[in-house]
This record gives sequence, structure tokens and C-alpha cells, in this order.
Amino acid sequence: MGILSTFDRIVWGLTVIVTFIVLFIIGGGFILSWYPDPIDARAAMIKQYYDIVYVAGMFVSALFVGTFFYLILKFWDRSQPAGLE
Amino acid sequence: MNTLEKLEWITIIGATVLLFGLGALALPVLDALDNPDYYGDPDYIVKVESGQWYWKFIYPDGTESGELKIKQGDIVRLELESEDVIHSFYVREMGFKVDIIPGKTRIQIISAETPGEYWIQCAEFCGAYHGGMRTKLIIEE
Repeated sequence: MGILSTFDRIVWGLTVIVTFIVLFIIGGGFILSWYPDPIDARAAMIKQYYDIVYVAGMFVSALFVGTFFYLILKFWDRSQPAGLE
Repeated sequence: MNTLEKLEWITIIGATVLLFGLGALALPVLDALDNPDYYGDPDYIVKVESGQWYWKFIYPDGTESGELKIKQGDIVRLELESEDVIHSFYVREMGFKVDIIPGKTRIQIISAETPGEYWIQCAEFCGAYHGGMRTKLIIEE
């Protein structure tokens, strides 16, 4: 099984998916994107590429940020005082 | 191969595929941007003069205007020149900028499908009133 159990993998995957959804929402998604509506064929092509890069970039960000959140969740030492007591 | 090594390889291969995949998808877009013949032969030529801080459009019949008025579907060849410093012709909805360098004529062929009014904005800092150096692109039906 290695260092990750099935449960670990599910939690990791869900963390990445949730991070992606949150990034997608705060990034404005497709409809509210700051990118203006294209008025010609070439501009439509550029926007289409922009959308692909937008989603790919968000996916990579979600992978890194989601993994970071997951590591915090997994390895947080709850036996230590948080300093807020 | 242990889990960490697998993860390492997945990361390396995934990043490589993503990088080259996006690069390959970018090629036709870059070609469309750089290719002056993308829209085919132009219907007419409009000369564009820019200066601190104005835009002037000269149509084939000699008419001059402060706004660029074209018809929907027309293929227009813009010949852009600057009278003084570097300016940049920018229409957000068309997705491109053309830097206009003094002493050179820049060519950009445009064609619009959606009628309406759009801003033409100078996108290269050109002095005190750079922000006000904008005019309208009017696409008529």
C-alpha cells in the first residue's frame, strides 16, 4: 500500500477537487471571467486558448495548494497545544 | 519503485505533458496572431495616425475621422504609424495589441463579426495624457 492508505488517497483527491472548485469560483469561472467577449474569429480562438490555459493553470494550482492543505490536515500534531487555550 | 518514486515520475511526466500540450495548442493561435493573411485579402485600407494624444483614421476616399468605423464582416487592413513616440493600438475584444513605433508602418488586418462600439485604447505609456488617448471602434451592421 505504500505510505498512503486508500482513505488517505480519497481525502487527498477530495481536497484537490474542493480546492479546484473554490479557485474556480473565486476566479470568476468562465461566465464572469474578466476576459471580454470576442468580436471576431481570431479573438474567439485566442479566448478559447486562454480558457484552456486558465483551467490548466487552475488545475496545477489546485494540485499544489490542495496537496499543501492535505499535508497540513494529515500531519497536524493535535497533541501539541495550539497556543489559543 | 516505491510510492515516492512513482509520485516523482507522475509529477515529472504530468508537468512535461502539460507544458508541451499547451505549447502545441498555442502554435495555431500564435500563427493566427502573426499571420497578416489570416483573414485573406483586405477589402480596403485604413491608415491610422497616432500621436500625443490622438488617433486619426484616413479612409481610402481621403476622409479623415477621429473614430474607426467599419462594416460588419469587412476585412480591413490597418496601416499604423506614429508621429512622435511609441503608441500601441489595443482593442480588448479583438485580443491583440500592436505597438506603433515612430518611423515604421505596422500592418494589422482586422475583421469584426459583432456590431457595436468598442474602445480603442493606447496601451503603451506615451506621456501625461496617455490614459485619455482612446477612441471608438464602431462596427456597423
